[in-house]
Amino acid sequence: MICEDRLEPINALLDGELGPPDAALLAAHLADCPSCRKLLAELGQLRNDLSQLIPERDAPSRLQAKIEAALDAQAVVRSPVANKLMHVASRMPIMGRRGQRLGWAAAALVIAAMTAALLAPRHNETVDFAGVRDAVLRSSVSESSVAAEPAPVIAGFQLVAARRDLVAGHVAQVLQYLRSGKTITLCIWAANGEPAHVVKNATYRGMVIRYWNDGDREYWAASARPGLGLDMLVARLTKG
Amino acid sequence: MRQAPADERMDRFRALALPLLGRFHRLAIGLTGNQQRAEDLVQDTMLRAWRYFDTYQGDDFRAWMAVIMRNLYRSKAAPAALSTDSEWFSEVADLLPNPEQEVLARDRAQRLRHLIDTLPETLRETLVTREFGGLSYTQIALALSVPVGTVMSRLSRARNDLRAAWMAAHDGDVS
Repeated sequence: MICEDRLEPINALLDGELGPPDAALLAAHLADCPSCRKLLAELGQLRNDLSQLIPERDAPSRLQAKIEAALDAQAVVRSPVANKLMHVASRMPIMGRRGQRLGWAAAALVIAAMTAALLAPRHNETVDFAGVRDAVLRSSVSESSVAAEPAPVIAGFQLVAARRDLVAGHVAQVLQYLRSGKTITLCIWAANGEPAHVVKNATYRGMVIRYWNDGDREYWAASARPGLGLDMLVARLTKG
Repeated sequence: MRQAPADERMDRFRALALPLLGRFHRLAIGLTGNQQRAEDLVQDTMLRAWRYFDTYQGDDFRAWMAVIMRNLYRSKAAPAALSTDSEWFSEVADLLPNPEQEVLARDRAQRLRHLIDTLPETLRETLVTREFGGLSYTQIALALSVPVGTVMSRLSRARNDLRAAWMAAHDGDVS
């Protein structure tokens, strides 16, 4: 037989939520009540069993990476045009989680495409926005396609996403790398006769960009939260 | 009042939210009983929290996030599926030294999980929020929109019901 009126205080005691005066009263009662002492022991054992059911640990790294990437995308998808495109993508007739992924894929595409498009001197914004819009509307295709070329393996960076897509009119390999919780997007496309040049720096609306051309391909590395990772990635890609 | 620039808001959001990822992942597993659904729930919670971060008034951030997670969970919950997936247990099993212990621990965990799932939803939700979310009584009260007294009452009933069922299950083992 348990003392019903002690049930809540005993639980509060186990949770560290019982104030000192009430704890003193309960302690006095426990000293004289074997059934409440037994109840306290059993509830304590139950809490111990529950704590082992789902151990305390960090969230999986893949989940951290996904959230970091999504927040990176959110950090720059603030313009009315991008928000509108995100809205359109999220309303595409695709069910559940896939629809949301496509929404994010669309947002990531907007970022990569806007970055490349708006910085390319030979482009004008109208053409680039049209190209971005086309690419967003084809995001279901781009997400399901497998990148044709192998992605560069960059020491110290984890490749978390890869796709082949259209970026500002270029058929591009779009890759996302992760390092220290920061996501870096790398777009690679054929140089198509454009002259080679060394690494150039640019910042566009909070996004830091490094771009270069090795005579064969153009490389665009961009991050909204670059830290040291962006320059390290560029250095490791260009040293060979 | 002047609104902080977007970059500053994002930095502040990250500073508040990212340290809670592990805790909310654990709570999400407790709520959904399914690793993939838990990850989806955590991600959705984080993104919705960022989306509405402008409405955050500077109160208890963990409770504010818990409200968002609870609302998302309730809008998507499929309670019948809660006990059908034991994938969440794989990480526990990884910690055990041999296959026999793993089988015993898995069976024990599945039975405990089943008992939790058979609690009335209001009790289960309160228990899971406390045990796996690690929220204080006050934070649970905010998250569930009930008085602190109701939290205490639900929690003690949930634990007592679970204790009785768990003890009965152990008695069955012995006989």
